[in-house]
Amino acid sequence: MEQQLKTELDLDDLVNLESMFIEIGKEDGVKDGVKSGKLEGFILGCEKGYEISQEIGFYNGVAEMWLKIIVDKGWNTPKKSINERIVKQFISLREMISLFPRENQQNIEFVELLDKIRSKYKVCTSLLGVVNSQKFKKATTSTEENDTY
Amino acid sequence: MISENDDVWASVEDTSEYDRIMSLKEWDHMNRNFGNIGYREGIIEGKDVTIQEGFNNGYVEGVNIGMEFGRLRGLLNTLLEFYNSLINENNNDDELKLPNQTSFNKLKSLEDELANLTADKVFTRDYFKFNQQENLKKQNNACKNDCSCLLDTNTEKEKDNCCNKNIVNESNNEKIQKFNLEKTIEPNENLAEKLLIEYKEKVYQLLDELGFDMNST
Repeated sequence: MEQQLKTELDLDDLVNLESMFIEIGKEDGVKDGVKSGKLEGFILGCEKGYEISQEIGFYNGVAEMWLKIIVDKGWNTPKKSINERIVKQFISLREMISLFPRENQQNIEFVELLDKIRSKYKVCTSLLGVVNSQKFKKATTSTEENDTY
Repeated sequence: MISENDDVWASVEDTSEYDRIMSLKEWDHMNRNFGNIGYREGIIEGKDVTIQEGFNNGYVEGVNIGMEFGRLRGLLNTLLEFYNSLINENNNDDELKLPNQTSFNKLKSLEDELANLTADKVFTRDYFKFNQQENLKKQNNACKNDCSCLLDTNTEKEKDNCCNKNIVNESNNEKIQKFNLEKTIEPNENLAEKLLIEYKEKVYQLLDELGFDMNST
């Protein structure tokens, strides 16, 4: 009986020792994790923010340039009758883009706005007849090229 | 002595010495093993605390830069599209005549460059390195957004207290000086921004050659 009690106590001590070592290790880990989490998150955020905003920025630039060509330079679209409509659509596209949040938003409105901008862009480009040629294409890595250097 | 310690048939006194060494070894062993387990757990736990905050900070930076790069690309892409349609239609407007071949080629290659500018080319290793150093500086100096003591405190009030502690000690003049210093240093050393400015100049110059004044509106 006494013998049994002794081993149980030993086991308890051992478990305590284990968790003590774990706790000490954890303390160091948390410190380093906090640091690397900040950086890792930052890198990830940069990439994601860049990717998504590049598309929106592209639409913005397209709208800006077409407006310049049509309004400032007085160029007439293939069908003159729709000139005004195109200008209107582009202006409203730019208004939508100006609402695009500059900070990370984790809500449904953000996705809705993104969809609205995309479909508005489609309306604009199809009015101009460039819907297929002026699609936004994601930037592609030309790693194959770099590898040969 | 040592040979006696290693002796399997050691006397009672030697056994206690042997036990001591073995338990020390065992202690180190446990320390290492469980310490590593704890460290691994801690890394994950620690990352959880800051990864979202880091992501949000990075996102703002990424959006600001990406928005502009996208815009430049859109400007050039539209012009390319426009000139191509003019070529196809053989329609030579007085105001909008086709550019000469060199400008047109320049337009093409610059658009292509912008189209291939992925995030990893804009936000390079050096960029993050610099950024990390900046963050550390901020923590040490003014304890701005990146307050190291945020981690230990929970309530908003506590945050305020701890963040103000350092700032209150600085005089206003010092603060302004520091702010100006940061302002003047930043554009040169933020590599992503620097690249953006370079491209912006190139694009605006080319557009100017083609008869589009981008600074007017």
